[in-house]
Amino acid sequence: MKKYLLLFLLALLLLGFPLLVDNDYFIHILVMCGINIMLVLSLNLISGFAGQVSMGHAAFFGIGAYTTGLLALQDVPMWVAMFLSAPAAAIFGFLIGYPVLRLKGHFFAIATLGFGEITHLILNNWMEVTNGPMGLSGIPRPEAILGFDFSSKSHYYYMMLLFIVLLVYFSLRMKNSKTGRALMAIRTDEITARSMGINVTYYKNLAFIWSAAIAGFAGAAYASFIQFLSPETFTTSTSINILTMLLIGGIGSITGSVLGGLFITAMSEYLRAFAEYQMLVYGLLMILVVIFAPKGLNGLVEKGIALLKRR
Amino acid sequence: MGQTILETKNLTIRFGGVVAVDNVSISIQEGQIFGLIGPNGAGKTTMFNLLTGIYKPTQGQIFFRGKDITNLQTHEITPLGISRTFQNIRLLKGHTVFENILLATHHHLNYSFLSAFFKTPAYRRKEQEARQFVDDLIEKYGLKDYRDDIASDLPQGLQRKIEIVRALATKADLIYLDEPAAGLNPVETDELMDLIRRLRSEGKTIFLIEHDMKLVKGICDEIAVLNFGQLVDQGSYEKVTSNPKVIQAYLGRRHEHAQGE
Repeated sequence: MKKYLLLFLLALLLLGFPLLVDNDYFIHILVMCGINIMLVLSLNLISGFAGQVSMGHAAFFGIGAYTTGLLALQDVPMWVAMFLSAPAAAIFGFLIGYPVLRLKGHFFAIATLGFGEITHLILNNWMEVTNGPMGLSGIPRPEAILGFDFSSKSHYYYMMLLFIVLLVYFSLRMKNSKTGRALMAIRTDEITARSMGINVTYYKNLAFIWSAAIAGFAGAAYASFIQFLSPETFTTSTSINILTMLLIGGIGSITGSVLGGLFITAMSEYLRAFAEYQMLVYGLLMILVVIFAPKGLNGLVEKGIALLKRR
Repeated sequence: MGQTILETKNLTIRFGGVVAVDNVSISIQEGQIFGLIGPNGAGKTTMFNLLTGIYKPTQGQIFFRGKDITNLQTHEITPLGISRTFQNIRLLKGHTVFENILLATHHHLNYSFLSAFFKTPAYRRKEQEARQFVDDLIEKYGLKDYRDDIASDLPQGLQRKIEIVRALATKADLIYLDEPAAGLNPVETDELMDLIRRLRSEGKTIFLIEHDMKLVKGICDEIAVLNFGQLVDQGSYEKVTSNPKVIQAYLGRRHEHAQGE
Protein backbone atom coordinates (compact mmCIF):
# COMPACT_ATOMS: atom_id res chain seq x y z
CA MET A 1 0.00 0.00 0.00
CA LYS A 2 2.79 2.34 1.03
CA LYS A 3 4.46 1.67 -2.31
CA TYR A 4 1.37 2.69 -4.28
CA LEU A 5 0.97 5.84 -2.20
CA LEU A 6 4.55 6.81 -2.98
CA LEU A 7 4.01 6.11 -6.68
CA PHE A 8 0.85 8.23 -6.61
CA LEU A 9 2.64 11.15 -4.96
CA LEU A 10 5.49 10.87 -7.45
CA ALA A 11 3.02 10.91 -10.36
CA LEU A 12 1.25 13.94 -8.89
CA LEU A 13 4.55 15.76 -8.48
CA LEU A 14 5.69 14.97 -12.03
CA LEU A 15 2.34 15.95 -13.56
CA GLY A 16 1.98 19.14 -11.57
CA PHE A 17 5.55 20.28 -12.00
CA PRO A 18 5.12 22.60 -15.02
CA LEU A 19 2.16 24.28 -13.28
CA LEU A 20 4.18 24.99 -10.17
CA VAL A 21 7.35 26.09 -11.88
CA ASP A 22 6.62 28.64 -14.55
CA ASN A 23 10.18 28.85 -15.82
CA ASP A 24 10.79 28.08 -19.47
CA TYR A 25 14.50 27.53 -19.05
CA PHE A 26 13.94 25.01 -16.29
CA ILE A 27 11.35 23.09 -18.31
CA HIS A 28 13.72 23.13 -21.29
CA ILE A 29 16.40 21.41 -19.21
CA LEU A 30 13.88 18.85 -18.00
CA VAL A 31 12.90 18.01 -21.59
CA MET A 32 16.60 17.58 -22.45
CA CYS A 33 16.89 15.35 -19.38
CA GLY A 34 13.95 13.35 -20.76
CA ILE A 35 15.62 12.83 -24.13
CA ASN A 36 18.82 11.71 -22.43
CA ILE A 37 16.91 9.39 -20.11
CA MET A 38 15.36 7.74 -23.17
CA LEU A 39 18.83 7.29 -24.63
CA VAL A 40 20.21 5.83 -21.40
CA LEU A 41 17.24 3.46 -21.06
CA SER A 42 17.79 2.32 -24.64
CA LEU A 43 21.52 1.77 -24.05
CA ASN A 44 20.67 -0.14 -20.88
CA LEU A 45 18.89 -2.82 -22.94
CA ILE A 46 22.02 -3.83 -24.84
CA SER A 47 24.78 -2.79 -22.43
CA GLY A 48 22.99 -3.32 -19.12
CA PHE A 49 20.71 -6.30 -19.76
CA ALA A 50 22.73 -8.10 -22.43
CA GLY A 51 26.17 -6.91 -21.25
CA GLN A 52 27.37 -5.78 -24.71
CA VAL A 53 28.98 -2.36 -24.48
CA SER A 54 27.88 -0.10 -27.34
CA MET A 55 30.20 2.86 -27.98
CA GLY A 56 28.23 4.28 -30.88
CA HIS A 57 24.78 4.96 -29.54
CA ALA A 58 24.81 8.54 -30.80
CA ALA A 59 24.71 7.08 -34.32
CA PHE A 60 21.22 5.60 -33.78
CA PHE A 61 20.16 8.82 -32.06
CA GLY A 62 21.39 10.70 -35.15
CA ILE A 63 19.80 8.34 -37.65
CA GLY A 64 16.47 8.77 -35.89
CA ALA A 65 16.80 12.54 -35.70
CA TYR A 66 17.80 12.94 -39.36
CA THR A 67 15.06 10.54 -40.49
CA THR A 68 12.51 12.75 -38.80
CA GLY A 69 14.14 15.95 -40.03
CA LEU A 70 14.50 14.87 -43.65
CA LEU A 71 11.02 13.39 -43.90
CA ALA A 72 9.42 16.40 -42.22
CA LEU A 73 11.13 18.75 -44.64
CA GLN A 74 9.60 16.67 -47.47
CA ASP A 75 6.19 17.56 -45.97
CA VAL A 76 5.60 14.14 -44.43
CA PRO A 77 3.31 14.62 -41.40
CA MET A 78 5.46 15.07 -38.31
CA TRP A 79 4.02 12.18 -36.30
CA VAL A 80 4.51 9.78 -39.22
CA ALA A 81 8.10 10.97 -39.62
CA MET A 82 8.76 10.51 -35.92
CA PHE A 83 7.34 7.00 -35.79
CA LEU A 84 9.34 6.01 -38.88
CA SER A 85 12.55 6.99 -37.10
CA ALA A 86 12.44 3.95 -34.84
CA PRO A 87 12.36 1.32 -37.61
CA ALA A 88 14.98 3.30 -39.57
CA ALA A 89 17.42 3.13 -36.65
CA ALA A 90 16.44 -0.50 -35.99
CA ILE A 91 17.43 -1.49 -39.53
CA PHE A 92 20.91 -0.09 -38.97
CA GLY A 93 21.04 -1.85 -35.62
CA PHE A 94 20.31 -5.11 -37.37
CA LEU A 95 22.91 -4.47 -40.08
CA ILE A 96 25.63 -3.87 -37.47
CA GLY A 97 24.46 -6.41 -34.91
CA TYR A 98 23.88 -9.36 -37.21
CA PRO A 99 27.53 -9.86 -38.19
CA VAL A 100 29.19 -8.41 -35.08
CA LEU A 101 27.14 -9.87 -32.20
CA ARG A 102 28.35 -13.36 -33.15
CA LEU A 103 31.81 -12.39 -31.99
CA LYS A 104 32.93 -12.57 -28.39
CA GLY A 105 34.76 -9.99 -26.29
CA HIS A 106 35.32 -6.39 -27.26
CA PHE A 107 34.64 -6.62 -30.98
CA PHE A 108 31.14 -5.29 -30.53
CA ALA A 109 32.40 -2.19 -28.69
CA ILE A 110 34.97 -1.56 -31.43
CA ALA A 111 32.48 -2.11 -34.26
CA THR A 112 29.92 0.26 -32.72
CA LEU A 113 32.65 2.85 -32.12
CA GLY A 114 33.54 2.62 -35.81
CA PHE A 115 29.90 2.81 -36.82
CA GLY A 116 29.44 5.95 -34.72
CA GLU A 117 32.39 7.65 -36.41
CA ILE A 118 31.21 6.66 -39.89
CA THR A 119 27.69 7.92 -39.23
CA HIS A 120 29.02 11.26 -38.03
CA LEU A 121 31.26 11.58 -41.11
CA ILE A 122 28.37 10.81 -43.44
CA LEU A 123 26.06 13.32 -41.71
CA ASN A 124 28.82 15.89 -41.94
CA ASN A 125 29.85 15.33 -45.56
CA TRP A 126 26.84 14.20 -47.57
CA MET A 127 25.94 17.75 -48.53
CA GLU A 128 23.14 16.90 -51.02
CA VAL A 129 21.09 15.06 -48.41
CA THR A 130 22.06 16.19 -44.92
CA ASN A 131 23.17 19.72 -45.78
CA GLY A 132 26.51 18.88 -44.13
CA PRO A 133 27.87 21.03 -41.32
CA MET A 134 25.18 23.67 -41.89
CA GLY A 135 22.66 21.17 -40.60
CA LEU A 136 18.92 20.94 -41.08
CA SER A 137 16.78 23.83 -39.96
CA GLY A 138 13.09 24.61 -39.99
CA ILE A 139 11.86 21.25 -38.70
CA PRO A 140 8.20 21.78 -37.80
CA ARG A 141 6.47 21.04 -34.51
CA PRO A 142 4.32 17.90 -34.32
CA GLU A 143 0.66 18.34 -35.26
CA ALA A 144 -1.68 19.18 -32.39
CA ILE A 145 -3.08 16.15 -30.63
CA LEU A 146 -5.50 15.81 -27.66
CA GLY A 147 -5.32 19.52 -26.96
CA PHE A 148 -1.51 19.60 -27.06
CA ASP A 149 -0.17 21.80 -29.83
CA PHE A 150 3.47 21.77 -28.66
CA SER A 151 3.77 25.54 -28.85
CA SER A 152 4.95 25.63 -25.25
CA LYS A 153 7.79 23.67 -23.72
CA SER A 154 5.58 22.20 -21.03
CA HIS A 155 3.69 20.26 -23.73
CA TYR A 156 6.98 18.61 -24.60
CA TYR A 157 7.52 17.93 -20.94
CA TYR A 158 4.31 15.87 -20.86
CA MET A 159 5.21 14.08 -24.07
CA MET A 160 8.60 13.08 -22.66
CA LEU A 161 6.98 12.00 -19.41
CA LEU A 162 4.64 9.70 -21.32
CA PHE A 163 7.47 8.19 -23.40
CA ILE A 164 9.64 7.59 -20.36
CA VAL A 165 6.84 5.93 -18.40
CA LEU A 166 6.17 3.65 -21.37
CA LEU A 167 9.86 2.91 -21.75
CA VAL A 168 10.35 2.14 -18.05
CA TYR A 169 7.38 -0.22 -18.23
CA PHE A 170 8.80 -1.82 -21.38
CA SER A 171 12.18 -2.33 -19.67
CA LEU A 172 10.53 -3.80 -16.57
CA ARG A 173 8.48 -6.27 -18.59
CA MET A 174 11.55 -7.28 -20.56
CA LYS A 175 13.60 -7.75 -17.40
CA ASN A 176 10.98 -9.93 -15.69
CA SER A 177 10.14 -12.19 -18.62
CA LYS A 178 12.04 -15.10 -20.11
CA THR A 179 13.69 -12.61 -22.48
CA GLY A 180 15.23 -10.79 -19.51
CA ARG A 181 16.36 -14.01 -17.91
CA ALA A 182 17.97 -15.10 -21.18
CA LEU A 183 19.79 -11.76 -21.46
CA MET A 184 20.89 -11.99 -17.82
CA ALA A 185 22.37 -15.43 -18.50
CA ILE A 186 24.11 -14.19 -21.64
CA ARG A 187 25.64 -11.30 -19.69
CA THR A 188 26.90 -13.62 -16.95
CA ASP A 189 28.03 -16.69 -18.88
CA GLU A 190 27.37 -17.38 -22.55
CA ILE A 191 28.29 -21.06 -22.45
CA THR A 192 25.79 -21.74 -19.67
CA ALA A 193 23.17 -19.74 -21.56
CA ARG A 194 23.69 -21.88 -24.66
CA SER A 195 23.54 -25.07 -22.64
CA MET A 196 20.19 -24.00 -21.21
CA GLY A 197 18.80 -23.83 -24.73
CA ILE A 198 19.10 -20.08 -25.18
CA ASN A 199 19.81 -18.84 -28.70
CA VAL A 200 22.52 -16.35 -27.71
CA THR A 201 22.91 -14.63 -31.08
CA TYR A 202 19.15 -14.17 -31.43
CA TYR A 203 18.67 -12.59 -28.01
CA LYS A 204 21.68 -10.28 -28.36
CA ASN A 205 20.29 -9.08 -31.69
CA LEU A 206 16.82 -8.68 -30.25
CA ALA A 207 18.16 -6.48 -27.43
CA PHE A 208 20.28 -4.46 -29.84
CA ILE A 209 17.52 -3.86 -32.38
CA TRP A 210 15.13 -2.64 -29.66
CA SER A 211 17.93 -0.53 -28.26
CA ALA A 212 18.64 1.07 -31.64
CA ALA A 213 14.92 1.63 -32.33
CA ILE A 214 14.39 3.43 -29.03
CA ALA A 215 17.52 5.55 -29.49
CA GLY A 216 16.16 6.42 -32.94
CA PHE A 217 12.88 7.49 -31.42
CA ALA A 218 14.72 9.63 -28.89
CA GLY A 219 16.34 11.24 -31.95
CA ALA A 220 12.89 11.96 -33.39
CA ALA A 221 11.81 13.61 -30.14
CA TYR A 222 15.01 15.68 -30.16
CA ALA A 223 14.53 16.80 -33.78
CA SER A 224 10.98 17.96 -33.16
CA PHE A 225 11.89 19.74 -29.91
CA ILE A 226 15.05 21.59 -31.00
CA GLN A 227 13.84 21.99 -34.62
CA PHE A 228 17.43 22.16 -35.83
CA LEU A 229 19.94 19.36 -36.39
CA SER A 230 23.71 19.62 -36.64
CA PRO A 231 26.06 16.67 -37.18
CA GLU A 232 28.04 17.88 -34.16
CA THR A 233 25.30 16.63 -31.84
CA PHE A 234 25.88 13.04 -32.96
CA THR A 235 29.56 12.45 -32.29
CA THR A 236 31.44 9.80 -30.34
CA SER A 237 31.62 12.13 -27.39
CA THR A 238 27.81 12.03 -27.22
CA SER A 239 27.99 8.22 -27.24
CA ILE A 240 30.49 8.34 -24.39
CA ASN A 241 28.22 10.76 -22.52
CA ILE A 242 25.31 8.33 -22.73
CA LEU A 243 27.55 5.51 -21.53
CA THR A 244 28.78 7.70 -18.67
CA MET A 245 25.20 8.40 -17.61
CA LEU A 246 24.48 4.68 -17.60
CA LEU A 247 27.60 3.84 -15.59
CA ILE A 248 27.04 6.59 -13.05
CA GLY A 249 23.34 5.74 -12.75
CA GLY A 250 24.05 2.03 -12.35
CA ILE A 251 24.49 -0.30 -15.30
CA GLY A 252 21.66 -2.82 -15.72
CA SER A 253 19.32 -0.88 -13.45
CA ILE A 254 16.19 0.84 -14.76
CA THR A 255 15.97 3.32 -11.88
CA GLY A 256 19.69 3.91 -12.28
CA SER A 257 19.28 4.74 -15.97
CA VAL A 258 16.68 7.38 -15.12
CA LEU A 259 18.76 8.82 -12.27
CA GLY A 260 21.94 8.85 -14.37
CA GLY A 261 20.27 10.65 -17.27
CA LEU A 262 18.67 13.20 -14.96
CA PHE A 263 21.74 13.85 -12.84
CA ILE A 264 24.36 14.20 -15.57
CA THR A 265 22.19 16.27 -17.91
CA ALA A 266 21.22 18.69 -15.15
CA MET A 267 24.78 18.84 -13.85
CA SER A 268 26.36 19.58 -17.22
CA GLU A 269 23.72 22.27 -17.77
CA TYR A 270 24.54 24.03 -14.50
CA LEU A 271 28.27 23.60 -15.03
CA ARG A 272 28.00 25.21 -18.46
CA ALA A 273 30.25 28.05 -17.29
CA PHE A 274 33.02 25.51 -16.76
CA ALA A 275 32.37 23.68 -20.04
CA GLU A 276 36.05 23.06 -20.70
CA TYR A 277 36.35 21.21 -17.40
CA GLN A 278 33.31 19.03 -18.09
CA MET A 279 35.34 15.99 -19.14
CA LEU A 280 37.53 16.42 -16.07
CA VAL A 281 34.46 16.35 -13.84
CA TYR A 282 33.09 13.27 -15.63
CA GLY A 283 36.42 11.52 -15.18
CA LEU A 284 36.50 12.34 -11.49
CA LEU A 285 32.90 11.20 -11.07
CA MET A 286 33.66 7.92 -12.81
CA ILE A 287 36.57 7.23 -10.50
CA LEU A 288 34.45 8.03 -7.45
CA VAL A 289 31.64 5.79 -8.67
CA VAL A 290 33.99 2.89 -9.38
CA ILE A 291 35.58 3.13 -5.94
CA PHE A 292 32.66 4.06 -3.68
CA ALA A 293 29.49 3.06 -5.55
CA PRO A 294 30.15 0.29 -8.06
CA LYS A 295 26.40 -0.07 -8.55
CA GLY A 296 26.05 3.62 -9.36
CA LEU A 297 23.48 6.08 -8.07
CA ASN A 298 20.91 3.31 -7.94
CA GLY A 299 23.15 1.34 -5.59
CA LEU A 300 23.46 4.39 -3.32
CA VAL A 301 19.69 4.90 -3.30
CA GLU A 302 19.11 1.24 -2.43
CA LYS A 303 21.64 1.44 0.38
CA GLY A 304 19.93 4.58 1.68
CA ILE A 305 16.50 2.90 1.63
CA ALA A 306 17.90 -0.15 3.42
CA LEU A 307 19.38 2.14 6.11
CA LEU A 308 16.05 3.95 6.57
CA LYS A 309 14.16 0.67 6.85
CA ARG A 310 16.48 -0.62 9.55
CA ARG A 311 15.68 2.28 11.83
CA MET B 1 17.52 -52.22 -20.78
CA GLY B 2 15.80 -50.09 -23.37
CA GLN B 3 16.66 -48.70 -26.75
CA THR B 4 19.75 -46.86 -27.85
CA ILE B 5 19.42 -43.21 -26.79
CA LEU B 6 22.80 -41.85 -27.90
CA GLU B 7 25.15 -43.15 -30.52
CA THR B 8 28.35 -41.81 -32.04
CA LYS B 9 29.84 -43.12 -35.25
CA ASN B 10 33.57 -42.66 -35.96
CA LEU B 11 33.55 -39.35 -34.09
CA THR B 12 36.79 -37.43 -34.74
CA ILE B 13 38.02 -33.91 -34.06
CA ARG B 14 41.40 -32.46 -34.95
CA PHE B 15 42.88 -29.26 -33.51
CA GLY B 16 45.67 -28.51 -35.97
CA GLY B 17 47.90 -31.60 -35.79
CA VAL B 18 46.39 -32.98 -32.59
CA VAL B 19 43.65 -35.56 -32.87
CA ALA B 20 41.78 -34.93 -29.61
CA VAL B 21 39.03 -37.46 -30.27
CA ASP B 22 39.92 -40.20 -32.73
CA ASN B 23 37.32 -42.37 -34.43
CA VAL B 24 35.19 -43.01 -31.35
CA SER B 25 32.02 -45.07 -31.74
CA ILE B 26 29.96 -45.67 -28.63
CA SER B 27 26.32 -46.30 -27.94
CA ILE B 28 24.37 -45.67 -24.75
CA GLN B 29 21.12 -47.42 -23.84
CA GLU B 30 18.13 -45.69 -22.34
CA GLY B 31 18.14 -45.86 -18.54
CA GLN B 32 21.86 -46.56 -18.25
CA ILE B 33 24.52 -44.90 -16.16
CA PHE B 34 27.37 -44.80 -18.62
CA GLY B 35 30.86 -43.80 -17.49
CA LEU B 36 33.66 -42.36 -19.59
CA ILE B 37 37.10 -42.65 -17.99
CA GLY B 38 40.67 -42.09 -19.08
CA PRO B 39 43.87 -40.30 -18.02
CA ASN B 40 44.14 -36.51 -18.08
CA GLY B 41 44.14 -35.15 -21.60
CA ALA B 42 42.53 -38.27 -23.04
CA GLY B 43 39.81 -36.18 -24.73
CA LYS B 44 36.92 -36.79 -22.34
CA THR B 45 35.75 -33.19 -21.96
CA THR B 46 36.35 -32.63 -25.69
CA MET B 47 33.99 -35.53 -26.26
CA PHE B 48 31.32 -33.77 -24.17
CA ASN B 49 31.88 -30.53 -26.02
CA LEU B 50 31.32 -32.40 -29.28
CA LEU B 51 28.16 -34.03 -27.99
CA THR B 52 26.72 -30.69 -26.85
CA GLY B 53 27.57 -28.89 -30.07
CA ILE B 54 30.18 -26.56 -28.60
CA TYR B 55 32.73 -28.09 -31.02
CA LYS B 56 31.88 -29.43 -34.45
CA PRO B 57 33.49 -32.79 -35.33
CA THR B 58 35.99 -33.04 -38.17
CA GLN B 59 34.46 -36.40 -39.02
CA GLY B 60 31.77 -38.73 -37.84
CA GLN B 61 28.20 -38.43 -36.66
CA ILE B 62 26.14 -38.18 -33.48
CA PHE B 63 22.65 -39.64 -33.18
CA PHE B 64 20.12 -38.93 -30.43
CA ARG B 65 17.22 -41.41 -30.54
CA GLY B 66 18.11 -42.11 -34.16
CA LYS B 67 18.09 -38.42 -35.17
CA ASP B 68 21.30 -37.00 -36.58
CA ILE B 69 22.28 -34.10 -34.31
CA THR B 70 25.88 -33.70 -35.53
CA ASN B 71 25.41 -30.26 -37.01
CA LEU B 72 22.97 -28.77 -34.53
CA GLN B 73 24.00 -25.85 -32.34
CA THR B 74 24.08 -26.10 -28.56
CA HIS B 75 20.81 -24.25 -28.04
CA GLU B 76 19.09 -26.52 -30.59
CA ILE B 77 20.29 -29.69 -28.85
CA THR B 78 18.95 -28.83 -25.38
CA PRO B 79 15.24 -28.73 -26.37
CA LEU B 80 15.55 -32.28 -27.77
CA GLY B 81 16.08 -33.55 -24.23
CA ILE B 82 19.81 -33.36 -23.52
CA SER B 83 21.35 -31.30 -20.75
CA ARG B 84 24.68 -31.10 -18.95
CA THR B 85 26.68 -29.95 -15.96
CA PHE B 86 30.20 -28.57 -16.06
CA GLN B 87 33.55 -29.65 -14.65
CA ASN B 88 34.00 -26.20 -13.08
CA ILE B 89 30.53 -25.53 -11.79
CA ARG B 90 28.90 -22.81 -13.88
CA LEU B 91 26.12 -21.37 -11.78
CA LEU B 92 25.29 -17.75 -12.53
CA LYS B 93 27.21 -15.61 -10.06
CA GLY B 94 25.15 -13.35 -7.82
CA HIS B 95 21.86 -15.11 -8.56
CA THR B 96 19.73 -17.23 -6.24
CA VAL B 97 19.19 -20.97 -6.46
CA PHE B 98 15.64 -20.35 -7.69
CA GLU B 99 16.77 -17.94 -10.43
CA ASN B 100 19.46 -20.33 -11.59
CA ILE B 101 17.02 -23.19 -11.98
CA LEU B 102 14.27 -21.00 -13.47
CA LEU B 103 16.65 -20.15 -16.30
CA ALA B 104 16.48 -23.77 -17.46
CA THR B 105 12.75 -23.48 -18.19
CA HIS B 106 13.57 -21.09 -21.04
CA HIS B 107 12.96 -23.36 -24.00
CA HIS B 108 9.68 -24.87 -22.81
CA LEU B 109 8.22 -21.47 -21.96
CA ASN B 110 6.64 -20.57 -25.27
CA TYR B 111 5.19 -17.08 -24.98
CA SER B 112 6.13 -14.08 -27.09
CA PHE B 113 7.62 -10.90 -25.70
CA LEU B 114 4.46 -9.07 -26.76
CA SER B 115 2.34 -11.20 -24.44
CA ALA B 116 4.82 -10.48 -21.64
CA PHE B 117 4.49 -6.75 -22.36
CA PHE B 118 0.71 -6.84 -22.09
CA LYS B 119 0.74 -9.44 -19.29
CA THR B 120 -1.83 -11.52 -21.12
CA PRO B 121 -3.60 -14.30 -19.17
CA ALA B 122 -1.70 -16.93 -21.18
CA TYR B 123 1.60 -15.28 -20.23
CA ARG B 124 0.68 -15.16 -16.53
CA ARG B 125 -0.39 -18.81 -16.55
CA LYS B 126 2.72 -20.06 -18.33
CA GLU B 127 5.07 -18.02 -16.16
CA GLN B 128 3.24 -19.24 -13.05
CA GLU B 129 3.49 -22.85 -14.21
CA ALA B 130 7.22 -22.52 -14.83
CA ARG B 131 7.78 -21.06 -11.36
CA GLN B 132 5.69 -23.81 -9.79
CA PHE B 133 7.62 -26.44 -11.77
CA VAL B 134 10.91 -25.05 -10.43
CA ASP B 135 9.59 -24.90 -6.87
CA ASP B 136 8.43 -28.52 -7.15
CA LEU B 137 11.90 -29.59 -8.29
CA ILE B 138 13.50 -27.61 -5.46
CA GLU B 139 11.20 -29.32 -2.96
CA LYS B 140 11.67 -32.77 -4.51
CA TYR B 141 15.47 -32.68 -4.38
CA GLY B 142 15.70 -31.16 -0.93
CA LEU B 143 16.91 -27.66 -1.84
CA LYS B 144 14.04 -25.81 -0.19
CA ASP B 145 16.15 -24.32 2.61
CA TYR B 146 18.48 -22.75 0.04
CA ARG B 147 15.86 -21.53 -2.44
CA ASP B 148 16.66 -17.81 -2.02
CA ASP B 149 20.36 -18.09 -1.23
CA ILE B 150 22.97 -16.92 -3.70
CA ALA B 151 23.88 -20.18 -5.44
CA SER B 152 27.58 -19.47 -5.94
CA ASP B 153 28.08 -18.84 -2.17
CA LEU B 154 26.93 -22.34 -1.14
CA PRO B 155 29.25 -25.31 -0.45
CA GLN B 156 30.63 -27.24 -3.42
CA GLY B 157 28.46 -30.31 -2.87
CA LEU B 158 25.29 -28.27 -2.88
CA GLN B 159 26.37 -26.27 -5.91
CA ARG B 160 26.89 -29.54 -7.79
CA LYS B 161 23.43 -30.67 -6.80
CA ILE B 162 21.89 -27.35 -7.90
CA GLU B 163 23.63 -27.70 -11.24
CA ILE B 164 22.20 -31.18 -11.65
CA VAL B 165 18.69 -29.99 -10.71
CA ARG B 166 19.10 -27.15 -13.20
CA ALA B 167 19.93 -29.74 -15.88
CA LEU B 168 16.75 -31.62 -14.88
CA ALA B 169 14.69 -28.45 -15.17
CA THR B 170 15.29 -28.43 -18.94
CA LYS B 171 13.15 -31.62 -18.90
CA ALA B 172 16.10 -33.55 -20.34
CA ASP B 173 16.05 -37.36 -20.57
CA LEU B 174 19.80 -37.65 -21.16
CA ILE B 175 22.12 -35.84 -18.76
CA TYR B 176 25.85 -35.38 -19.17
CA LEU B 177 27.80 -34.95 -15.93
CA ASP B 178 31.36 -33.70 -16.35
CA GLU B 179 33.36 -34.94 -13.33
CA PRO B 180 30.50 -34.59 -10.85
CA ALA B 181 32.61 -35.74 -7.88
CA ALA B 182 35.45 -33.26 -8.50
CA GLY B 183 36.09 -31.18 -5.38
CA LEU B 184 33.61 -33.11 -3.23
CA ASN B 185 34.44 -34.73 0.13
CA PRO B 186 33.65 -38.45 0.67
CA VAL B 187 30.29 -37.74 2.34
CA GLU B 188 29.23 -35.44 -0.49
CA THR B 189 30.38 -38.05 -3.01
CA ASP B 190 28.16 -40.67 -1.37
CA GLU B 191 25.19 -38.32 -1.52
CA LEU B 192 25.98 -37.63 -5.18
CA MET B 193 26.01 -41.36 -5.93
CA ASP B 194 22.60 -41.72 -4.30
CA LEU B 195 21.30 -38.80 -6.36
CA ILE B 196 22.58 -40.26 -9.63
CA ARG B 197 21.04 -43.66 -8.82
CA ARG B 198 17.79 -41.90 -8.01
CA LEU B 199 17.83 -40.15 -11.39
CA ARG B 200 18.26 -43.53 -13.10
CA SER B 201 15.31 -44.93 -11.17
CA GLU B 202 13.28 -41.93 -12.37
CA GLY B 203 14.00 -42.95 -15.96
CA LYS B 204 16.86 -40.62 -16.80
CA THR B 205 19.92 -41.73 -18.74
CA ILE B 206 23.23 -40.53 -17.31
CA PHE B 207 26.50 -40.15 -19.20
CA LEU B 208 29.32 -39.14 -16.89
CA ILE B 209 33.03 -38.44 -16.98
CA GLU B 210 34.78 -39.27 -13.75
CA HIS B 211 38.18 -39.79 -12.15
CA ASP B 212 36.84 -41.03 -8.83
CA MET B 213 37.03 -44.83 -9.36
CA LYS B 214 34.95 -45.53 -6.28
CA LEU B 215 32.05 -43.63 -7.86
CA VAL B 216 32.59 -45.24 -11.26
CA LYS B 217 32.72 -48.72 -9.73
CA GLY B 218 29.74 -48.01 -7.51
CA ILE B 219 27.20 -46.76 -10.02
CA CYS B 220 28.18 -47.22 -13.68
CA ASP B 221 26.39 -49.91 -15.67
CA GLU B 222 28.86 -49.61 -18.50
CA ILE B 223 32.22 -47.92 -18.92
CA ALA B 224 34.20 -46.69 -21.90
CA VAL B 225 37.94 -45.97 -21.61
CA LEU B 226 39.54 -43.23 -23.65
CA ASN B 227 43.30 -42.73 -24.13
CA PHE B 228 44.90 -40.22 -26.50
CA GLY B 229 41.47 -39.71 -28.03
CA GLN B 230 41.00 -43.38 -28.88
CA LEU B 231 38.52 -45.82 -27.43
CA VAL B 232 40.59 -48.46 -25.59
CA ASP B 233 37.84 -50.64 -24.17
CA GLN B 234 34.14 -50.68 -23.36
CA GLY B 235 32.13 -52.88 -20.99
CA SER B 236 31.55 -53.59 -17.31
CA TYR B 237 33.85 -52.23 -14.59
CA GLU B 238 35.43 -55.67 -14.03
CA LYS B 239 36.00 -56.18 -17.74
CA VAL B 240 37.70 -52.87 -18.46
CA THR B 241 39.82 -52.77 -15.30
CA SER B 242 41.28 -56.19 -16.07
CA ASN B 243 42.18 -55.21 -19.63
CA PRO B 244 46.01 -54.86 -19.83
CA LYS B 245 45.67 -51.98 -22.30
CA VAL B 246 43.60 -49.99 -19.80
CA ILE B 247 46.07 -50.63 -16.98
CA GLN B 248 48.85 -49.57 -19.32
CA ALA B 249 47.01 -46.34 -20.21
CA TYR B 250 46.80 -45.40 -16.54
CA LEU B 251 50.12 -46.73 -15.21
CA GLY B 252 52.39 -46.83 -18.23
CA ARG B 253 54.34 -49.82 -19.57
CA ARG B 254 56.22 -52.01 -17.12
CA HIS B 255 59.78 -52.27 -18.44
CA GLU B 256 60.83 -49.46 -20.76
CA HIS B 257 61.48 -46.80 -18.09
CA ALA B 258 63.06 -49.10 -15.50
CA GLN B 259 65.55 -50.45 -18.02
CA GLY B 260 66.29 -47.07 -19.58
CA GLU B 261 67.22 -45.37 -16.35
